[in-house]
Amino acid sequence: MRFPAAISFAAALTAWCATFAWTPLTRESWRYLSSVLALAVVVAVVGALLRWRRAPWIVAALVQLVVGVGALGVAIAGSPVPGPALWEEMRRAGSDAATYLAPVPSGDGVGIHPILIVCGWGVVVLTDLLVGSGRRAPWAGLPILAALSAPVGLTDDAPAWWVFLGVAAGYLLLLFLAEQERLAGWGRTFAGPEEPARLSESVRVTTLGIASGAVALAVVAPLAIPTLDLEVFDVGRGTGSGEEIRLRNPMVDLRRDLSRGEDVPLLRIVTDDPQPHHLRISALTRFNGEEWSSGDRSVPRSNLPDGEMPPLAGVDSSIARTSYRYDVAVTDDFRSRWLPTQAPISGIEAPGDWRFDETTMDFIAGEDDLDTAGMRYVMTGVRFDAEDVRARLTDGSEDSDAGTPAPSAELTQLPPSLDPYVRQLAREVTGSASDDFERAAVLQRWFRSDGGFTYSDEAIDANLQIGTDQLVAFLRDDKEGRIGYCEQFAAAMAVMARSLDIPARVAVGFLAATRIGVNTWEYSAHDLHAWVELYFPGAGWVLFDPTPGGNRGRVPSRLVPSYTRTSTPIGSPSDPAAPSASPAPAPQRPTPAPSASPRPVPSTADSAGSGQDRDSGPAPALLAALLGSALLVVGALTPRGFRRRRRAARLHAGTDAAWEELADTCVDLGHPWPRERSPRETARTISTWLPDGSTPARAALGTLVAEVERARYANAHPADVRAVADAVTVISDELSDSATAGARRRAIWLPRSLLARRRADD
Amino acid sequence: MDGNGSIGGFDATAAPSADLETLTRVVGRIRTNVERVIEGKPDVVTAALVVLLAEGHLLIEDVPGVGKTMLSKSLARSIDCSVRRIQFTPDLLPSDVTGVSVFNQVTREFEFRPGGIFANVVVGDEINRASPKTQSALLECMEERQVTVDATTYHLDAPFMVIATQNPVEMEGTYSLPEAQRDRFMARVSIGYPVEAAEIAMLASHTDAEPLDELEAVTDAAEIRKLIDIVSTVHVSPAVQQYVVALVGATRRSPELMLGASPRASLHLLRAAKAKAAIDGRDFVLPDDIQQLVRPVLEHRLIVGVEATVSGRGAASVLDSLVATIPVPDVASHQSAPATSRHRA
Repeated sequence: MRFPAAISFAAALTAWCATFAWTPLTRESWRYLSSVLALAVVVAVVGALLRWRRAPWIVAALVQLVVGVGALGVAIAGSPVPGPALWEEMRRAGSDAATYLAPVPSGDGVGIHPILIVCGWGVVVLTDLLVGSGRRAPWAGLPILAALSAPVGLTDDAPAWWVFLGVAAGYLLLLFLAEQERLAGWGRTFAGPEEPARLSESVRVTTLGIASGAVALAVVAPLAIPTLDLEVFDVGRGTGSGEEIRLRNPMVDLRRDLSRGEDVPLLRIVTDDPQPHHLRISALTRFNGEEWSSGDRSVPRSNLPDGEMPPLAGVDSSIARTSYRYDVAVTDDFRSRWLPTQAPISGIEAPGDWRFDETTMDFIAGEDDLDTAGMRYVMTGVRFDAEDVRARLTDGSEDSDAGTPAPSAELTQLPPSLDPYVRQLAREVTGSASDDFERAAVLQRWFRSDGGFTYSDEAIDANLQIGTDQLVAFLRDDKEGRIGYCEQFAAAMAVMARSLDIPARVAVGFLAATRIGVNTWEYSAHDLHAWVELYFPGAGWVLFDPTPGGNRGRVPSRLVPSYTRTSTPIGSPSDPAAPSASPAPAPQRPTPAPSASPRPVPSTADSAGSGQDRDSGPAPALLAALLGSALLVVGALTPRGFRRRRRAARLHAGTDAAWEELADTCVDLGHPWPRERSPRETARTISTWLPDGSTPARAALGTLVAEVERARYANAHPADVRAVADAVTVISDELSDSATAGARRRAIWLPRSLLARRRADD
Repeated sequence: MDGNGSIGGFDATAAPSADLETLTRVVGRIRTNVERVIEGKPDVVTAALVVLLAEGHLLIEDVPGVGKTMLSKSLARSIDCSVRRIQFTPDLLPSDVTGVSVFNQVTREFEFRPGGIFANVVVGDEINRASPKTQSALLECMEERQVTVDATTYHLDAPFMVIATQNPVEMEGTYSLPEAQRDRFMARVSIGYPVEAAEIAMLASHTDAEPLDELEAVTDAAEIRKLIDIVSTVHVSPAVQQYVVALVGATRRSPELMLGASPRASLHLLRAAKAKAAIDGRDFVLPDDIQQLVRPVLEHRLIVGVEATVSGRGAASVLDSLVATIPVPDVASHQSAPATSRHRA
């Protein structure tokens, strides 16, 4: 009766390990942990004694209950007799549990540890009864699982991985012990002394296989399912995912969301757009010297997103355009008072009181409690033909059939406090450009590549102010300057554009979606971005993105509208010889560059080095899933492949190697190969494993034994390698054919010889 | 022992050399001859042949009437050589065995009259009925194959083999054979009662005529000498030497044995194994040869301790358990053996 005691203690310890999952519920978790450990020992001792006396489970349950109540009294109230003190403690703990949020403070007169102690004891007793008296070790997983998962509902926190690992190991140990006991109870005493050892070895090997398989699955399966959040073995992300993304003041929230470590999926889009990008949430039109803000908006009740939108402001009808339909689903994590929409937009149907501002075409919640969480809506975005835009903007003609007049003066307004350095710099940079559009394009290129700017996530700071002083510092070409992130780039370019009398506004939204399905794309928190829209008569509001691309940057050039690129050199006042008015668009004509082909995931070259995992979405999860599956497959194939290679190598490596190979084949098939016996004795044993009719195999065995004997004991005998290999193959095949299907499978996938060999070598 | 050259159904014998073929043919003839008299006891016959070819001496121990003398006589008669039979009795004198110098009245010189030991095959019947003094007279002859009488040494012709029979020690009127003398016998075998069929056949053939009288010699001393030379060419690998030493050493260390086997026992064991291998048509010794010869070669040399005796274990069962536990040298030890082989070279 050795096992019952071991099982009782294993059960109690495993259950106690599971109660580690409750540590987030209370501040001083040692209070309940120590008590539950003491109770677990009591339960295990009592349980082992009961099993030893072979008490029926109902008696065992009653005894455990009586002993448990006494022990609980001591642990909680200090008296083995349950009295008013115990009752009072429990009542107080109950009211504390109702009063405080987890983690509940703990102390001598406060805390929920009495409840936890009682619950812990309950888990231990249930486990013990199931495993010990009930002899249903697998069922013990239920109370243990309950203990593990209870805090998830209360705190949203999954138990730490080491708790899971400890409990899993304990549970597997329980299963192993129980299985061993069950098999030992089958009365194999008639067998020789080797029999039980072999039995437990096979059990051990099988258990090891199941255990490693189960643990590997537990680790890998969540990775393989992209929609599930990986919580148990969460590496490299922030803690928990409970926080929502709230967007009220777009700029401030943008900073906050970008600076958080965690990348949460926010929008899912089904569209025919080959690469959705620059999904705008809001346009900021006012710069007051301190910050960019949305300015005053007039949003009449009639401006509802219920179909066709007003014609695009300032866009010449000669420009060819393509429409894409976007079917948007917002996750619950994204709560925005602004509705993310493509710009320009030609139609939208969204539920709720969303109202658009005709000048900016962004959508604002009309009711106080309205936000985007969980919303679904459909919109049609417009993308212009690049060559038409380019042609329209560079032909210099002012006449336009676009209905809307030039935008209001506010869009070129700059605070008087602005340092003249900014204006001067803008003129210097765009000095060689012939018209406004060229100037804007040169400006963009200056920010993106020529100006020596560096993109850096480290610049993101939720408390960052982007006022005039900060802008000047950002633009200065010194050690501290010219390093920043998208918002600084956008604000700086907008200010500089305005200083050149180009109407400018800052757009806040999402940069580029990540493909997660054929036509399905996802924007996540790290995709949040800021860019610039400049107004040109005839082309309307044109998107510019000054944030650098390249290896160290963020915005790959394929996401920048091609017509905004230019070859006009960066000018300077001292360089009047700069190429004249001809903007020479041809060489820069954005023929669909190789990088412009739609790709499911933005190239790593574009996003590498930016520190954060911005374009993440499902890509890392997919990668991890692939990696996990690959690991699983490799793990499953390794023993088999190793064994096969070893077999191939040994079959033709001489008589002794071939003999070893036959030994391993027998071990793989579950036959106890007699070690350190003479070849003939061994062959006699092998022949008992061969079916009666297999004459060829017996003949082969005779040949093989003769060769082995000659190789080992005769004087200089040349080995007949081929005959030996053939003989081993014949015998192995016959042995394999006569083995059970299970033994064959084990021999292929979990060759025991790999383990046994190591033991023999030790 | 398995008498037909294959062990457990695995006839691993392949293309023996011409010498070995001769050997197996001659041995087969002797075997057939002997088995005409001793029916259904191939193991005992093989043991006798092994001892003959290994130049040892054979001790046949069994209760009276099972054919001890028959075996020794039939073996002796199968070989065309000199055969002497000495019936050991309590009053037998050492000089009866070795010979005596007698004064010749005519030549007026002492002349040596050879005793019973001067023959190729000496059958010593009921050896343990003689006095210890006479028994020890056999010692020098058996070990050194020579007789010294009156300071003159007479060499014995090869082949020289003593086949002694004895009744179990418990029988009346017997002296226990001294350890020193037991050790000089290469092997001891018991014949045992015949199986039913063999006994019926014996009744049929032995009642009318004495088959022993009809036996013809199938070989001669010269051929046996040649066979003995062939046996000496059988190869013994270092692994097998190691195995012999391990087994014999184990008898010395075993707590169940008061007296283990001597180095002479190792030598006998290996020589017997060579003969056995040659009889099986093999030119190298297998651990299996050793295993099969352990009991006949070692058993009579051991003295079992009190504890084993009390628990009913004889030397045979102790040996069996040793054979079952001592590892047979396999590849690894074989490869680590070059030290030994260098030593031999």
